Amino acid sequence: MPHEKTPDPSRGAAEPLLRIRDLHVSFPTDDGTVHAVNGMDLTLGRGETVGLVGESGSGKTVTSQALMGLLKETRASVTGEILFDGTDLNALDEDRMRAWRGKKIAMIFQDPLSAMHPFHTVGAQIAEAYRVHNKVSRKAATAVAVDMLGRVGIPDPKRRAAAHPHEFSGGMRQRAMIAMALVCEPELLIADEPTTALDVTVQAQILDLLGDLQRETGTAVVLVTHDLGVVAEVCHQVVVMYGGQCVERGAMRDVFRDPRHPYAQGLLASMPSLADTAGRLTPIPGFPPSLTTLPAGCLFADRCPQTHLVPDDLCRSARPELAGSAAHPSRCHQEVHAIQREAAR
Amino acid sequence: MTDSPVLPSRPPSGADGEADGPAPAPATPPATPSAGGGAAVTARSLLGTAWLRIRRSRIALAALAVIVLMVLFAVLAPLLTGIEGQDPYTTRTSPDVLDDYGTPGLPLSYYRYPSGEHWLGLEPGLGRDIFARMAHGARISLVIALLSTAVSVVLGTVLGAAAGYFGGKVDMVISRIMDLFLAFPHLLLVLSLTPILQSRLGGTALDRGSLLPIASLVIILGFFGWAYLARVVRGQVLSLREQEFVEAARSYGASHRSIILRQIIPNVMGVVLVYATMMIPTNITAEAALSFLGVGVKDPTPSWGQMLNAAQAGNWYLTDPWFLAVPAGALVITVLAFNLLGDAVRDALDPKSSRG
Repeated sequence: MPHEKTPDPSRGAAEPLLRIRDLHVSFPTDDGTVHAVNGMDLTLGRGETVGLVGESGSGKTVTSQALMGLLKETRASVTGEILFDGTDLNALDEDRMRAWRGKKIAMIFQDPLSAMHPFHTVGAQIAEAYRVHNKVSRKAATAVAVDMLGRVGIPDPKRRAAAHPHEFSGGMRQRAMIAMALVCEPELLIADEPTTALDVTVQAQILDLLGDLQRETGTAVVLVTHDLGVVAEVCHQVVVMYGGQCVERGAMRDVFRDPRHPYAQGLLASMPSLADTAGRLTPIPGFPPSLTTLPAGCLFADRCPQTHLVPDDLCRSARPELAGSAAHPSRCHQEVHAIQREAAR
Repeated sequence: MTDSPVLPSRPPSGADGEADGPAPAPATPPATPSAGGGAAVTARSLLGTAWLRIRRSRIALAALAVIVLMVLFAVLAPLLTGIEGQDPYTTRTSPDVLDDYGTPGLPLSYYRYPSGEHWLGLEPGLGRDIFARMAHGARISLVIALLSTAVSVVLGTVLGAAAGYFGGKVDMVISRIMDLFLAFPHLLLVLSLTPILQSRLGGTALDRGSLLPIASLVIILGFFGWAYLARVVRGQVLSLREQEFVEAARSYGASHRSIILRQIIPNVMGVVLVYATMMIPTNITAEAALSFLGVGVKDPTPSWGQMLNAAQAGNWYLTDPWFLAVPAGALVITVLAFNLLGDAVRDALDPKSSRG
């Protein structure tokens, strides 16, 4: 693994906080190797929010696990570069990675009820997360935890800190989870479907809270979600994932206004719209590809309604690269060969 | 002696349904309204709930009372025998006390049965005070049972948790050792190992109150009891380590040690507790059996098993059944109480039984 300290001239204000280059993750199983992530790229600046969007099995969660280094010491094989603040996380060993987890990179989970320990009080769990990285007494850590609970908008934090997770409502629990993740003031927060388990009104509150805390602390956020509405609300950047690849990325507005990849187009078309009340939603036909035997061509080819626009059956014989404008590339042969695509619409 | 209690599945680690709902009427008789009313939703841990349920079961309370009495009996043995004015070692062989004619050594009937002077009568043959020997024997029997259970529980929990958590080679090695221990013919091995261990630890000539047989029984019983528990714990941990709160703990940088101690172990405590309450009576009987067979606690040191052995050794149970009945009765009552309590603990920790 390249571990050299590259004298990077571009390092400085322009250097992004996180740069993932050509990340591959595969898991050996009895049924063959599952290729969960196949060449993922991602760039994220300080204080920015990027949305990782895709359906189940598109590699969003595995990407975030690889980012946290949670796949170390497992049978998973992780290759590629995860440059965080200039350090390749993938080259760190478990012990050094552990020192970074929580302190520099933290994570919140979809279901805070199962992500918090049922027997310990909420305050004790937040205090424990703080004590892992800060040598302070239990008492001092509890004070920090109470303070943090207040900051995430839990009323009467002192009393609530002594309660167990199951005594919290769903929204309060997610707030507590956020408090636990942010207690060491990490530079990067990975939010793995943080609002999926919540109802819509609470969802909005939690997203607002995340936004507020982000402005307050300058934490960058990777928001993993399949909810395009959530992305539209909070993200600066969007990365659309399919089959463990980034199939399209760009600024939130650009991707929503002008999706380049047929899959992104399909995702947006399958979203209910307030403006267009006529008729049924348009689903994307078919299923995601089997991750054990990846097709030779484009991973989306079997479900793509636009393969006929590409000559020589390229879609099924060659895997496209990310192409198009640097700010908004997509992984489609139409983009590669600059095919006039307006006809397809 | 291979006791395989049916262990409950792990209580829901706060899964859905933990927070909700009015409880259905409990199956156990009188539900005290003050205890479980929905009004006061205070922090109630799994063990807290279990305790509430135990408190509501008469059988469990009676069993608990018996156990407390037995423990007090053992702890206060010097005090009680002091009040009685006897000690467990003084022999009385004069013809005034022990029969000299038909059955030599049989206490005369005044001394054979409970009296103000000797609360449970005298032992045939040597004329020692049965109450004093019972009390001091209770200390030894209970200490052996509790300590050997503690050894098993610690070994079983730690090794089982390590096997389940780390998996791979660690799991392989520990699991094979478990299999090995489970495959051995328990009783035979214990029977043959105990005297060897005793002689290795310091000879076979035993003084009164020697700690040697106690230590060797604790080691042997403890060492052969952990494998089953370890296997159960391993199974639990195997599913626990995939739980999201473990991943969450890793994601804030917790070490393996802290994850095992703070995240995993609390979740297996229920199972461990149930197993421990079931293992204590097994170990009480095991101690008695070994002492009865002559490889455990030996005369003059008293233990309940040693007293059974004494009753059997001189065929005294034919002429003085009382001498057999006292330790046997105490043993039965104590083991029964522990078993009933174990059942109650298991029921109380079972989330599928009606909630309290």
